[in-house]
Amino acid sequence: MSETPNPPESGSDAWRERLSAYVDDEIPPEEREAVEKAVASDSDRAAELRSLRDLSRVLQAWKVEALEPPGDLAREIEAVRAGSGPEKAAETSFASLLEGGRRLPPPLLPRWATQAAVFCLGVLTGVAGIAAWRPEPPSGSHRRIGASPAEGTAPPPVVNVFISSSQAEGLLREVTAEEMRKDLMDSVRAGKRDRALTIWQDLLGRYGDTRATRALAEDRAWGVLLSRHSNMGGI
Amino acid sequence: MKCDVSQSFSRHYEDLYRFAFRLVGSRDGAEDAVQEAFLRLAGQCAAACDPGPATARDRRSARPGHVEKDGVGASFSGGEEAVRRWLFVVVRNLCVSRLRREAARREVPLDDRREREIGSRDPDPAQAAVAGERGRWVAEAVASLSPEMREAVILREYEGMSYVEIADIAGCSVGTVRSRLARARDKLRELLRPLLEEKP
Repeated sequence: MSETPNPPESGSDAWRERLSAYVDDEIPPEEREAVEKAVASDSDRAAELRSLRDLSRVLQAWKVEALEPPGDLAREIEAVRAGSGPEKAAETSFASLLEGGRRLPPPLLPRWATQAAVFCLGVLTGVAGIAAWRPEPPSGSHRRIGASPAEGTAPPPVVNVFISSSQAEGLLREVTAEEMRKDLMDSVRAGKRDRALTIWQDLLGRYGDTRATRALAEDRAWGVLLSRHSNMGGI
Repeated sequence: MKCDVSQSFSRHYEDLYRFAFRLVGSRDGAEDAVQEAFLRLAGQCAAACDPGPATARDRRSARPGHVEKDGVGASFSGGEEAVRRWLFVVVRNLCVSRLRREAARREVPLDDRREREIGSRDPDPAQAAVAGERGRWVAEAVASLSPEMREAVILREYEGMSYVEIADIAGCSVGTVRSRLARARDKLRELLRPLLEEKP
């Protein structure tokens, strides 16, 4: 059984496999010898071998620069290795990000903007209420003599802010989603994982187009925490 | 086994990232897969320090150098080389899962589309001679392969792994690796013919 086996027919799949393995130095010595003999006596086979070797050279043109690993990855790994488990590490990491401010997603709406939005909505509601309000015409029998106009029927002073109903609705959605995001973060800090996930599903289902949901979706630490739960069938 | 995740991290992160990037073709996908793999490694090490009651599977995977694949997970025991291989298995499984999810979302299979795109390009060697363009051309050609052929090519051509190592990571026989590599190279030679016909 030590005689050199005949090489497969040129152009066959078996020959191509053998030649490919030859280039990789992954064939037994007797097959290697057979390939070398075949290549030496057949110019087509020799050209095929050259082509395979050239292919390896050409493939090296694809360079991939390895990026620096994410800064917090080592910390997350260390937290897991310390024995708190991957879920806990993700939570710890996420909570620490929230508390420490590092890699915290930028505020979706600055606090003043949130307050301004709430104020605008309040004003809008007030304007709508006033618009719907119809004062009773003063009757002489009911009017107190000497009462000032402000005391009786005159409306309070208001500031008119004109925004469209769709703008108001969008603003309300953003504000609500932002509040839900804060609630979610509080739940994570408090270790209330199920509640955080419920809020997250609600955000996705009802407020998927808001900045709050998008920012959360892009947050790596939150993504890690979610993937843990996906693997556990949590979501 | 003594756990030194930090050492594994510094030794293997770059190789794993490059492997994942070539497999999934995106920075985010590669980073996610590698990050997940290291977190799982850290979890394994934490579990090894506090193993709890041993199961039949634990005892099976406690063999030196053992790599066991289960979905996107794997368990290992042995030295640093086993850790490296384990990490490659996890990254590979995560990347393949991602590719399957992405493929399922597409109406036109990625492989077909990429092949058509490459086939319809003007095979101008002068243009391809630009280094960046050559790399892009090669990247697209490799991406047009099926995930199984792609991983075999990447592990062999870029990571320099043996057929046995590739088979271990891909979860198939050495014969299958040999066949996949031969078919992949056949296809790549067709797709990269203009570059192959250039003078070195």
